[in-house]
Amino acid sequence: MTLTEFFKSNIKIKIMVPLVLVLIFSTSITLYINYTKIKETSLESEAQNGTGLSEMISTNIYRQFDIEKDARLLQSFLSGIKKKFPNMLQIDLISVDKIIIASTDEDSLDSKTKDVIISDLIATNKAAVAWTEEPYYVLTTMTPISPKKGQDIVPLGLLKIKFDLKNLNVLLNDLLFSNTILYLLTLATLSAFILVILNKIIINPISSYKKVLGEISKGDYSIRLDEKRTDEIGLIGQSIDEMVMGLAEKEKLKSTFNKFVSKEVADLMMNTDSDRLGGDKRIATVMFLDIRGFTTLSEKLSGESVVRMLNEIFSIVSNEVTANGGIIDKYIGDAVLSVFGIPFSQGLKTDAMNAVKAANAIKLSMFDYNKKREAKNQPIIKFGIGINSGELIAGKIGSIERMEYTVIGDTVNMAARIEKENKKYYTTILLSGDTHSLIHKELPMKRVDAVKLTGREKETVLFTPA
Amino acid sequence: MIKVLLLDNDEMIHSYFEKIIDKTEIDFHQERKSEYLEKKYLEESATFDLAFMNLFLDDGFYIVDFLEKKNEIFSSSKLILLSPMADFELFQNLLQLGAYEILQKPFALNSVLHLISEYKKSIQKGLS
Repeated sequence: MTLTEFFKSNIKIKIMVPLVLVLIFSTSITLYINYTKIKETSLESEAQNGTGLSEMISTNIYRQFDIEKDARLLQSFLSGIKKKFPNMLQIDLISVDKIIIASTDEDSLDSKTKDVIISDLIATNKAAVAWTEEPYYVLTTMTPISPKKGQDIVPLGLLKIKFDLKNLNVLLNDLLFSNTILYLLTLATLSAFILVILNKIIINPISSYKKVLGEISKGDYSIRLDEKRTDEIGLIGQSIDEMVMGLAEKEKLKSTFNKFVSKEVADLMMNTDSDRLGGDKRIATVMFLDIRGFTTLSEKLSGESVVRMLNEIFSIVSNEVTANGGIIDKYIGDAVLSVFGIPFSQGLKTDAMNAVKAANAIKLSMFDYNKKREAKNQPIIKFGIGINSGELIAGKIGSIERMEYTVIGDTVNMAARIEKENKKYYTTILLSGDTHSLIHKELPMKRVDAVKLTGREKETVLFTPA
Repeated sequence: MIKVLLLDNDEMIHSYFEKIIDKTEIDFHQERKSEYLEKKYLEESATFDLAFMNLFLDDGFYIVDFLEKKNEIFSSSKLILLSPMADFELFQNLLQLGAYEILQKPFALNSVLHLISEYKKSIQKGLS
């Protein structure tokens, strides 16, 4: 596993890999320290035994033999000793001239030893010394042959014994092997135990949180963790539940809100700083629709019928406006104010064209609606649409307690005034010269007249779709 | 494959376009300085199907000056102007000078895709 793969891996691997590495490292260190300690102690003990035996043999040689004369007897004596102690590899008796005068290895007889320590031992007449040689763990002892130890006495010679420590080596290897197995078993058990604990207290909860968050991101706000734990992980779970409840509440509010305002405006109101009042100057196209003769009509109908009829008409208007990229800004009694290009424009010309397309679609849908009314002997609904494009202010307007996202400005007022001119010219849709200037290349228009509208010094040229 | 240019020094606009434009279907070029228009495209007589341009650039570029000589440089390109301000009279003039569409900032990214899609449809209609 590369480092990059490790960082991309899941949390279980991220926790377990370093943990197992730490455990392996600490176990190896412990194993090494223990093994070294046991080895040192064992070698020390073997050295003590070896030097003790060497001292004893050396004393016997001093007492029983004349080293210079009894070479043959000594040879036999040393062979006897070697037979008694099977772990002795070789016994040499070395003169002060460093010549081997008796040895269990007959090939070495009369040869000069190369041991550098001999000169020092002869000069100092120290007690027996022992050392080991790697890798076969051969223990060598060297003991001066003299009545007592000390610099004032020159020893008669030196006794060198080599002990075989193979058995100790095998014992240590066995010990190392069994300890390694034991440590590995402990390591595996410990890792499994830690993994179980980690799974239970961290990994499993995180996995279930991940699953729940996935569902939440898909829009399922009914899901709950119902976390009972009071530790940090439990608190995260409880916070997730609180967050989901908040989101569910917001979604419910948004869903209700969408019934009264367009989705775009609902999103804008929900996602921006709700306490910030004020607006932005924008260019948009406004469409104003008004039902003609509504007062007379409502006098002839019951209240319930009036509301039902208005809802049917407003549904038609709302569907066509939305389908053409506009938003319903507000219902004003029997009138509907809709805007194209707010809160987001699709392009200045596109917005204006969308408004005219929506007006044409409303005209067609209302024609079908009136046919159905006629069939039921109900009075037909007449209406007028005024369209104007220009600058307006769009934003949250009202008080902190009650605000609405709406559009205000002369462009809006002009659309309402243009709508009223429909009655005069027996038209259903009228649009201003400003709207016409944006779309005349794309949509065919017919000039109706130039009128002086209230609040305007210049005449406004009116057009109707051809 | 249609060729689209974005000329704007607003990095946010560049990152938005990069997110939505499918470069396997659109030959998309991004520029931040007006000298690109003056030099490269005049020299190579290269042109674009659609060019999204901000009204102003930091290097002194002003769209009105450009539109006056548009026909020399981008005779067959449809220019969609990105405007950080709302001035209806100016917009009307820009449309008269030959701008194809004007998008007021902030605009919905769907508007960009919609304009590209409408352009593709118009080409297909023209071909058929």
